[in-house]
Amino acid sequence: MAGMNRREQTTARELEGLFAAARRSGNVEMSRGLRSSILDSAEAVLAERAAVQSDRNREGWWTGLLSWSPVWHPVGVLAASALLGFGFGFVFADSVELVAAEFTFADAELPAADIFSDLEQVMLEG
Amino acid sequence: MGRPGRHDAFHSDDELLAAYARGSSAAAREIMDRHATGVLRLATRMLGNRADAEDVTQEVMLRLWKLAPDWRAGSAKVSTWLWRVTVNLCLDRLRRAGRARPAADADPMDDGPAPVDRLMERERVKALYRGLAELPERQRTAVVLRHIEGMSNPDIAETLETSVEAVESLLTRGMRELRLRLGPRREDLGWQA
Repeated sequence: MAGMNRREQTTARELEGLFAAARRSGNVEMSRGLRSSILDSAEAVLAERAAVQSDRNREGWWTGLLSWSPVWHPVGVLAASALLGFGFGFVFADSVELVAAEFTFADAELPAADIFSDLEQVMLEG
Repeated sequence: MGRPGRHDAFHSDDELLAAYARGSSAAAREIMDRHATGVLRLATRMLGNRADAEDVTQEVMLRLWKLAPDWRAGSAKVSTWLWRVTVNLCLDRLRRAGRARPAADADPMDDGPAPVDRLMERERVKALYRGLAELPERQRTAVVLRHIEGMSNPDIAETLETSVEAVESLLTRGMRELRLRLGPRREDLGWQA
């Protein structure tokens, strides 16, 4: 470009005329296909986001439930252990009385075995 | 970038984006109406190819939809963000295609037959794009954004992620180069020798 004389260089005014022509020729129209494709992608992103949010909510619900569950509190742990122990004992004990003997109420006049006698009768008949 | 929309008086771009993030399809439509044509026009000018420009437009809008929930209102203009992503995607595409510049012979806005005066103007525009195609990448982008898209220097700086001073320098050098390159084509341009 060195040595090029000034006449060969376009003036700013002429260039501006070219830019104006370029601006005039810049009226692009969005095709219907492109429009619908863009809107479809917007819907797809919304749907995907809703699905992710739903999963998060579900996970959050379970997490919340477990974190607040009485099972995790000391008293809850004791209660759950007792229930489980009773359940296993009841199922595997040879005699309901053996199970009942473990659960004799200290203040009760009758041993717990009496409480379960009707149940034992039903089971033996069964 | 955007033309006035139906809800301009009621909703800013930030508000529309937030509405879309909350699940409004109508907001997405409005955002598209405001900006997608501008994205397509810029991409077409940068790539010189309508099909590629449509792909870029889809990609840009998809990125906007995905970004919507994390968009921080007031941190940047939606239009500037769109320009930046469009420019970067176009440059990436040109680099991947192994050409650092757009197809210089293509008339990016060619849309069929036209009267003689329109044909002459089209030839002049083609000559301009040929000249622009010979500029270094960032100079070309700055000149297109400033003189064809009509953006302000601060907006160009944000789009190109550089300073306003750097943009002014790019424009000065770009215009000087363009004048030098178009000089020998005065006849093609219909200018007096």
